[in-house]
This record gives sequence, structure tokens and C-alpha cells, in this order.
Amino acid sequence: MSASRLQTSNLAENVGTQPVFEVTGLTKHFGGIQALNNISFRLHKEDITALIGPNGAGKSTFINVVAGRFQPSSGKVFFQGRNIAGLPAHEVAHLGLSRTFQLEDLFTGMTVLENVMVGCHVRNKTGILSAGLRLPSTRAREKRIKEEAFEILKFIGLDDKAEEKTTKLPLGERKMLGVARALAMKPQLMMLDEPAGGLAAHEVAKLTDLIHKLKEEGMAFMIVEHNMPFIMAISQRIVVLNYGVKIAEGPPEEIKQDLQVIKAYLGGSI
Amino acid sequence: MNDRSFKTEISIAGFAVIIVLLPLIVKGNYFVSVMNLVAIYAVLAMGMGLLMGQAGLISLAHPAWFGLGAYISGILAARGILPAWATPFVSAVGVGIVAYVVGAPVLRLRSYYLACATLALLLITQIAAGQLSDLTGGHEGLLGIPVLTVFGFEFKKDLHFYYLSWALCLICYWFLANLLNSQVGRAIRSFNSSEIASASMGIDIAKYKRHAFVLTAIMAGLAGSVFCFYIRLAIPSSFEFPLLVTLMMMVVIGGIQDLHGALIGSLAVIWLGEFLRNYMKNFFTSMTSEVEAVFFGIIIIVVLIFMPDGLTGWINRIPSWGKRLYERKQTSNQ
Amino acid sequence: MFISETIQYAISGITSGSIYAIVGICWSTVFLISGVLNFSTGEFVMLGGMLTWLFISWGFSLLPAIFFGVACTVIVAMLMERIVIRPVRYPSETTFLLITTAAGSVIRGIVLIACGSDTRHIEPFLGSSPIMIGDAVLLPQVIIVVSVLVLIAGGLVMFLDHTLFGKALRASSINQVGARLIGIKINRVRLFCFGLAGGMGAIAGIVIAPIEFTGYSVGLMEGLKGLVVALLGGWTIRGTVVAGLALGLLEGLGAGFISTGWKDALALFVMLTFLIIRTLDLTSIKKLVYRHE
Repeated sequence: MSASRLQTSNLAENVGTQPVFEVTGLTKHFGGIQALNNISFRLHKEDITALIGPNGAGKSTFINVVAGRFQPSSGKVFFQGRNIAGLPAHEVAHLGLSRTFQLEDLFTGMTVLENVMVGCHVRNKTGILSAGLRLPSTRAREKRIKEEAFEILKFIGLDDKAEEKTTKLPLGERKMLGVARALAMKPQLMMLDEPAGGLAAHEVAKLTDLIHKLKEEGMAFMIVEHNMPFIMAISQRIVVLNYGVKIAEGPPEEIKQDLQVIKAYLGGSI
Repeated sequence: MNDRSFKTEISIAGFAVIIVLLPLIVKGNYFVSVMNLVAIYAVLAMGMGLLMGQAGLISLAHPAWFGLGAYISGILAARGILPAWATPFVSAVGVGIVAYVVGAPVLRLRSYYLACATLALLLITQIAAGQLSDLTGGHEGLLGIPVLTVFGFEFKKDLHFYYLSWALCLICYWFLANLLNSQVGRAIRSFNSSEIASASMGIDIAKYKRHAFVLTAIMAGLAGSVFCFYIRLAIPSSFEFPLLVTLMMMVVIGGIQDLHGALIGSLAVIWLGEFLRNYMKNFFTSMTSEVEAVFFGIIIIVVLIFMPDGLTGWINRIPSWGKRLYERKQTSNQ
Repeated sequence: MFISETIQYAISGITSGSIYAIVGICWSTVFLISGVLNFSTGEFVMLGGMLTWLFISWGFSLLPAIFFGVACTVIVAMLMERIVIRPVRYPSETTFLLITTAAGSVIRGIVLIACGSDTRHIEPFLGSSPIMIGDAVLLPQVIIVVSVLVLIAGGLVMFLDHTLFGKALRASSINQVGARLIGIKINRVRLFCFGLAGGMGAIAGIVIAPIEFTGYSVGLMEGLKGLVVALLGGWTIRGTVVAGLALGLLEGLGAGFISTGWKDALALFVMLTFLIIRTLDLTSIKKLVYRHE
């Protein structure tokens, strides 16, 4: 009820601009468990959108379904003008959707720089023969990738640790490296899964700065987060999930007042 | 910027010089023939180590590609269908095709299940080699393989094969080192630590698994091809289960993390085997590969328990030992 | 003639199938509880047969020889857990695969050094006068083999379902951490499982030795066939017994009517096909089947 009201207002606000990303009727169930139920919303480039909800609300499942790790049971996901629902993860990545992980799944056994270089994969095709024979084209490409990756590390403030192994980084820097790696893909849309989880206050501030900078360069963001002050400060739109159902959507001020959201977070039945 | 690949090329060049000069320094056919085996097995171990250590694929079918390569070359040359020099290329293509066709479904399996499936592949190949006796000569082996002749040059002596095998080995090493240090190699190394993250970076995991599998299979096939011209025989017992144990040992001893681990492993294992054979002759009347496998088995167990990084792990740690010693000296001076 | 031939092949199929089933149970006992696929399982089978032969050749009579054969194999299996599996610092599938394969080749090689490479034979337990079914021959030993399978499978089911320790084993196969939390000692459980697998494998190797010859190299194939049926049977006792007998029959008939040389390849091919089919995405097919519910 309130959800549908909010959605119509959403349409009225952004009339004229094309959404970067849109889900309609997205549903996912694991056996009998309904993890996502008929989720629909639109994401515009101008708005940093946050996806919040209590534990087990289906936030991570949402990212996993959209980014191609799980197949949706039904529903559509529009991105770059086409329905990407059910595409495998690597194809979704090629279309320009990049994601990070709650527990940073870094490539252990590689250096920090190499981790970021892997992120450049989508934009750099190398054949197995030209790589093995180290043809001039490959040499040039390798050099460029390395420079690019180093630039990104500099941008994010990790350039002094480029040659270190990932296992030696503290948690905050691991998180930032996860973002750097996703950034190397030069995505249209970035989905951050709990980027501020476990970060200290000054690190959160740094992250906020970074997101604002990137947004100005035209990158769209969707952030899944638990850290409420961070979310309220950074996002322009918030989508609230509870038990796999969208219970509210709107700007932060509205969400703060929303009775259903408060109930969902504090417990109690509707 | 490209210091690592530069270092690789320098070390390969240095190693090549040593290899070229060695037969001039160490006289005797025995040394050359053993080093010949080192090179051939190093190619196999490199492939297996790459799959296990870098790509995280437990493939036990490696001896099968070796055998297949040997048989394709052997049959084509022995029947006079193709001149001997052309057969290694056909072997490479043939093994590549078979590995691709087999790899596509088999590589969907993981960990133990992949190991089981590839072990089944190995044993099926072995049984087939024994059973299709019209084609392969059965358990007695395929005879009548001609001398390998390239542009009129006849590969007759051990020394000729020494240079051929080491050329193959070093080319394979160079190719794989380049590959691992490129975008393709990073893709292959990435899914070993996290398949999900790797796929999210746009890496088509199935494709790269197949690439790695087929590429190493082709290398093993080429090694088999050279081997069959060297011993002028293709026989099921040359790629049976004990070879798998030997290869495992090379990979484990050398260390699974680095490419040159396979080279070191091959050197260590082959020479250890020779030493055992010469020394144990006094104790056992029949020093078969199975008895050798006892020692190898014990060494694998000890290495896996006490030094999981293998010899390369130790060698890599030497600089840090030196540094620590230096630092200790510094502090004691102060 | 055709019928009695078929019966004959079926009998030999069931005989080897029973052995596969027992070996399969050995694999799953260890795998389910410790997560280790023990690639030297087949060597326990070989050890049982060879040790019993050894004790008989030293002048022991049959029953004590069997007892010592089984006991020694159990000790070897437990020693293996203690000195090969437990000290591993970085447990991973690759490590366990390498280390158990290595242990297997050590056992195989030692037996080769100690007993030579000749094939060995144990006299049938109940004499060798056959029971005739039409023209088909049924050796009394076959009855022993099948009843050993029934005893082992039945006993294991009873043990797991009705004793406290058995229930503890099942618990730790489901959740190792949880089992540790409620006070089950995982190390001791794993040691027990290795011993159990060694014992069962040894018994299988002993009862089959009078029918099929035994030798230092029989373990590899017997072990692999056991792995095949354990996989096919979904690591359960019932499934493994059914799969073992089915594979045995298939092999028996295949070897009889088609070719003996390819007999071993058949089992491997079945495993390969099964593994590949398992990876296929069956959801689309399931949807077709269940759409009309």
C-alpha cells in the first residue's frame, strides 16, 4: 500500500530520465523458502540508492540474483536496455554491472596490484596464444593494464601497498581493495554489499568521499548496508526489504518516518 | 614496469646456457640420458602443477595425454602414414581435440569428483592401449617406430634427444611463465581462490578451465611424442599408475605454487630414482617402479606434512633468512 | 545352455559385486565422517588377502590366520590415520588425495618386497565341491562372500541406528563442528572409522581370495570399483549395496558375453558417465515433469 504510493511518486519525480537499472516482479525461492518476493523498483543515476532491511531480509540474495550468481525464479531485471535476468555472472559483469562482497573475496596468492589487474579483465581480451608467446600487442596491453591498475590504487589510496600480498592487509584496506577491484571494471553500475561493515569512522568518511567522487563522474550506485547513519547520509533513495518483500521505498526522510519500516526494525506484527 | 617477465626471460636464458654447456662438462651417455628424462617429465609435471596449484584443478589424467601423444606419433610413423617429423604436430592437435571434447563435460566437476573422473580417464586410456592390440600392439607395445628425421638430420644419439627434449621443456616453461604473468594467467589464478569473485570480474571460468586443461594436455602429448621417438617404443606400462605417483611427487617436492617447482621437482625425483636404483640394486633383485614408489610415497608423505610448500618454498625463503640474519647482525652491532 | 551360462555369469557377477559393495562401504565410512577420500582403501583389501595367505603359509590354520590378517590390517589402517592423516597441517582435498595415494603405493610396494609379485591363492573355506544349478556351478565360497556382505551391511546399519556410539558417528558425519561441541572427539571417531574400514576391507579381501587370486597389485582396481559403487550409491549403505551388486552383474554379464579385457573399463565408464550426468542442470527437466501438479 505505502509501497505502491511511493512508487507512483517516484515515477512522477523522475519523469524524463531513463532508469539505469530496473527490476520488475523479481522473485527467488530456495525450495519452499521465499527469499525474494515480487520485488520491483527503479534505479536512477542521479540517486545513490540504498537497499536496507533486517537480517535475512533478502538483501544479499537480491545482489546475488541480479549479478548472476543465482538464477531468479521469475521476474525481470533491466540493465543497459536489456533483460539480464538469468544471465551468468561473467556476462553480467561484461555489461557493466560490478559488485563487491560482504566478506571481501580477494584473490589470495596475488599481490594487491594483481587483484586490481584482474578487474581490468572485462575490458581487455587476451588470447591464450598471444599471451603465451608474449606478442608485442600483449606486452603493450599488459603495460597499460598495469598502469591503469596503479592509477586506481592511487585513487583509492592503496598505491603504497601495491606489491604486498592481500593476506597482509587490515580489514579496512581489504574492503577498499574490493572496491578498487570492482572499480577497475569501469562499470556503469556498482553494487556494494555492506562496504562500511567493520570499518572505523575515518574509513567510512573516506569511503563516502570516494562514492561521491565517482558519482560525479557518472557512476550509478546501489548500496546494501546495515550502518544506518552512513546510509541516511549518503543515499537519496532507500528501498526497504523485509522477509523478501519490499515494504517501503523513498527518500531517507520519508523512510525514517515510515511506520512499517520502524516496525520491521523494532519487531512486532503489522 | 615489466621487471618480472624480464627476470623470467633472463633466468630462462641463463638456464638454457647451462643446459647447452652441461653435456660438454659432464661426459658420458648416462648423464645425458637421465637429463633427457628430466626434461620430458618436467613438461608433464609443469602441466600438472599448473592445473593443481594455479587453477585448482585436480587432474590425474596427465599420464594419459602423455601416452596418447606417444601412440598417435608412434602409430602414424610406424605405419608410414606420415613422415616422423610431422607426427608430433598431429599428436598435439589430436591430443588437444580429445582433451577439449573430454574436458568440456569433465571440468564441470570439482575437487574429489574431478579427481575420480580424470583417474577413470587415465585408466580407460590405459586399458584401451592394452586392448586395441591391432592398432597399438597391445601390452607388448608398439614396435617399428622409425628414427626421427628432420630435414635429413637423424635423431639417433641420446645427445640429440637431450637438446630436443630440453628445447621443448624450456619453450613450454617460457610459454607458461608468460601466460601466468598475463591477463589469461591472472584469470586462471583468480578462480582458484574464489570462483564467485572471479566470475563477478567478468571471467568465464569454464572457458579458462578448459584452456588450461587443453593447453597442458597438448604439452604432455608433445612430450609423449618426443619420448616415443626416443625409446622407439610406445607401451602401456610407460604411462601407468606409477607414473602418476612419480608426477605427483615432482609436483609436491618442487612445490605447487611456482612453475619452476615442477622443474626442480623433476630434477630431484629423477636423480633420486636413479640413485635409488643404483644403490638398491644390491638389496633387491628386481628393482621395479613399484619398489621405487615406496620411497617416493614416503617422501611425498613427509614433504606434505613437514614442508607443504616443497623445495621452492624453502628456496623462496632463503632471502628472508638472509635478511633476518643481516638484521640480527645490525642490532647486535648497535 | 544359454540360461545356465547366464546364471554362471550372474553368479560370478554377484560375487565380485558383493566385494565392490563392501569396499564401497569402506570408502563412505571414512569419507562421510572425516571428509577424506582415502585412495588407499583398495590396499586394505589386498592386505587382508595377502596377510592371511602369509599367515597360512607360516603354518597357521585358517581361522587364526584370518583373525591375524584382519587384526593386522586394522592396525595398519589406524596407524595410517595416526601418522599420515592427522598430522596434516593444511588439510585440503589435494593434500589428502596426494597423501593417501602415496600411502597406498607405500603399502603396495612393501607387500611386493615382502611377498613377491606372484599371485597367491587361499584354499576355499568350505572345500571346493560345487553345488550345481542346472549346468551352472555355484562354489560354496560364493555363499560365504554374499553372507559376509549381508553381515557387514546389516551389522553396520544396526550399529549406526541402535548404539550410542553409532549415533555419535552419524552425528559427526552431518556436522563436525556441532559434534565436537557436544563432546564427540572427532580425532578418535576418525581413527575408529579408519580401523573399521581397514577391517571390512580386509575381510572382503580374505573371502574373495579363494575365488579370484590375490597379489600385491589387486588393490588398485578393487579400490576403484569400490569408489565407483560408493559414488553411484550416494555414499549410503543401502545405495552402495545395490550399486555394487548391479555393477557386479553388469560386469559379469559384460565380461561373459562381450569381452573380459574391457571388463574394468566398463565400471570406470559407468562412473564417468554418472559423474557427468550429475553435473547437468536438471531443473528444466524437473520443471517439465512437475508442471502439471
